[in-house]
Amino acid sequence: MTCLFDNIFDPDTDSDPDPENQLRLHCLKEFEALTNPSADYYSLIDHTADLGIRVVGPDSKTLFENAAAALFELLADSENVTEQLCLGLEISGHDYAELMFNWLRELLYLRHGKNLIGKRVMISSLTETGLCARVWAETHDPERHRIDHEIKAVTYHQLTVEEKAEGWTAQIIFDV
Amino acid sequence: MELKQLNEYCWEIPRSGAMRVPGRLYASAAMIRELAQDEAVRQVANVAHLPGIVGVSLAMPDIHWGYGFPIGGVAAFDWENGVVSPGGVGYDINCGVRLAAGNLTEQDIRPLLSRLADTLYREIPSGVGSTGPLKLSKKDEQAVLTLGSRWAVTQGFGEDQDILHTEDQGCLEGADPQVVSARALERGLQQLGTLGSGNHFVEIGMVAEIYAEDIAARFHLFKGQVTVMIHSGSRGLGYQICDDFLAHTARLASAQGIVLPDRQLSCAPIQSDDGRRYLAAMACAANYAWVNRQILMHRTREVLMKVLGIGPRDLGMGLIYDVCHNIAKKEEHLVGGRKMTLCVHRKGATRSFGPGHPSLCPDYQATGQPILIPGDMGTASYVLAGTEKAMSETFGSTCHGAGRVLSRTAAKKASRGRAIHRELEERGILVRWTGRGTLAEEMPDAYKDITEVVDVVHGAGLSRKVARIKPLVVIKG
Repeated sequence: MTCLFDNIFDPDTDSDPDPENQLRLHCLKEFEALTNPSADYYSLIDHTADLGIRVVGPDSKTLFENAAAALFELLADSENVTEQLCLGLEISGHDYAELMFNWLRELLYLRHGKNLIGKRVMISSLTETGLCARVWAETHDPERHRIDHEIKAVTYHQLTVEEKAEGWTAQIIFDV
Repeated sequence: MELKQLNEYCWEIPRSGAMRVPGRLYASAAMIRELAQDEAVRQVANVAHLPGIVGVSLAMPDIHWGYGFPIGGVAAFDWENGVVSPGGVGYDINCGVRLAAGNLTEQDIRPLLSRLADTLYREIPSGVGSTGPLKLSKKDEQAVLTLGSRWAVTQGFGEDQDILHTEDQGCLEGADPQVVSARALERGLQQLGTLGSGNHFVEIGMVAEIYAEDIAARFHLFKGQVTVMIHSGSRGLGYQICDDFLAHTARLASAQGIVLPDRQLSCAPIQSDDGRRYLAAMACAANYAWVNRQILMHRTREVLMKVLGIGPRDLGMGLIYDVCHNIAKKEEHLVGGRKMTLCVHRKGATRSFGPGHPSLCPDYQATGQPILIPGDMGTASYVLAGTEKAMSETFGSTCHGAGRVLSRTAAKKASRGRAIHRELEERGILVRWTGRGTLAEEMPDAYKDITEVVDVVHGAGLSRKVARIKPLVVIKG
């Protein structure tokens, strides 16, 4: 399947009656959604070779849940993903940064190793060195699940997880 | 960062702080103005902090910001007292390029370009998680990982000559599938013979210009000749191996209280159990990547014969060479007049062994090894030859490609309102692609000018220009 994403039209052609152009316009809107995520819990970091996110949360548990939600949102359009199955995950790490690294690695493994598209997560317990979570996901169906970014790996590069006066923040760079 | 000019193409980052050796960048004056404030330059200095680094931490003119090591970086470590770093090799272990050419000329295929593009796109599985028609048993996979290209040839995916014309004869020694995780093996089973995504490609091109007639003749290249260039790597298997070992070495560093300028630089002593295990797993991925490119080339040859209605003798298409540009290798080099055994990391850099090097096959003893430098999909690719100067200055290394200048997001923004594939068509290049956004991310404007990069390594004597290839048909993941 080829993609019309590269045929993006100028927004001024909004009223273009040509159905092909309408489709292009639709792609443009998708593109804008990608580069300006509507969610307020994360933002994109522009990195020459890769893609990164800055995530925020009022507490550490929410921060880790938000990081997972951001990863899922970047990977695929979650609208058409159903909660077909639920998995239990236990993750450990030497500190918060390593825990975040291992958490996102495991979620990404579900995509690449198990061909699953994530829908949502719920963390039941979290300490600096471990977390227990449940993940809802569905087997990837290329007909229904639009893949947005082909994130291939979570890196340690400039990885941070910090508690600040206004809440928790994390920065993660992905290999794409 | 302070940069001291050494000569027309070479700048030094003097030692400071805990740097064990200085850094050195190869670039033109114009490139240096752009690079001076770049994070990639700091990364060259960061690599210079690692234990056992020898001589100098190097960067090629296609350098750009990576994670941990810069892309375009070369670093050599003492085999006895140095370290090996999974991040210094990169995720796509033995990502590399191969070039095949034979009897066909551009005129033979010109009327059939569109059919060639469509058939190649159909026959070459592409995209990030693409799986191939090849069903490997677990036993076959073990053979792929230990034998490399030899396995592909015994299965009918090529000829003995292809093995001779592959770096290290398509097999890194010491590969041990026992140290590869079940996850990596599982991912490897499904994906052999697939292209992958991002900047990976299969390209039909033509030799547009010859710069060194004598060497080109030895490489069996002539003007107007049809070429096949393939850029791919070790797919999910290599990614999983890097991921597994990176997590492990980072944990070791934390547990031992070692503070690194960047955790992605985590490493293990070469002469430790962890170091040996990583190198044995890395060799498995390297061998897998060679088999993968061998199969992709075989399929491309089949498509050419099918579409043109010719047999293998008419096609006469053999492998010119296959190079890796994400790898760590055990090599001998002269350092300060003394022969040393080193672990040379090339992350986005290509080997450039000069004439007479004992590891080169007889065909290339007189010329130095062929080096394959792909440019962006709309411009050109280059064939270079290895030099003795590279042996003495850069541990036998040169550049690997154009190097990105725009982030993927910036490239998408810059592509707004444009039909990239039509722009390419106007330049005589047909492109077929799989991934959403691939074409925008990979558009020519996202990369440095390949000619500028190649002119620097040619001018600096790290490799010699032999031929330029113009793309005609490009299949992207």
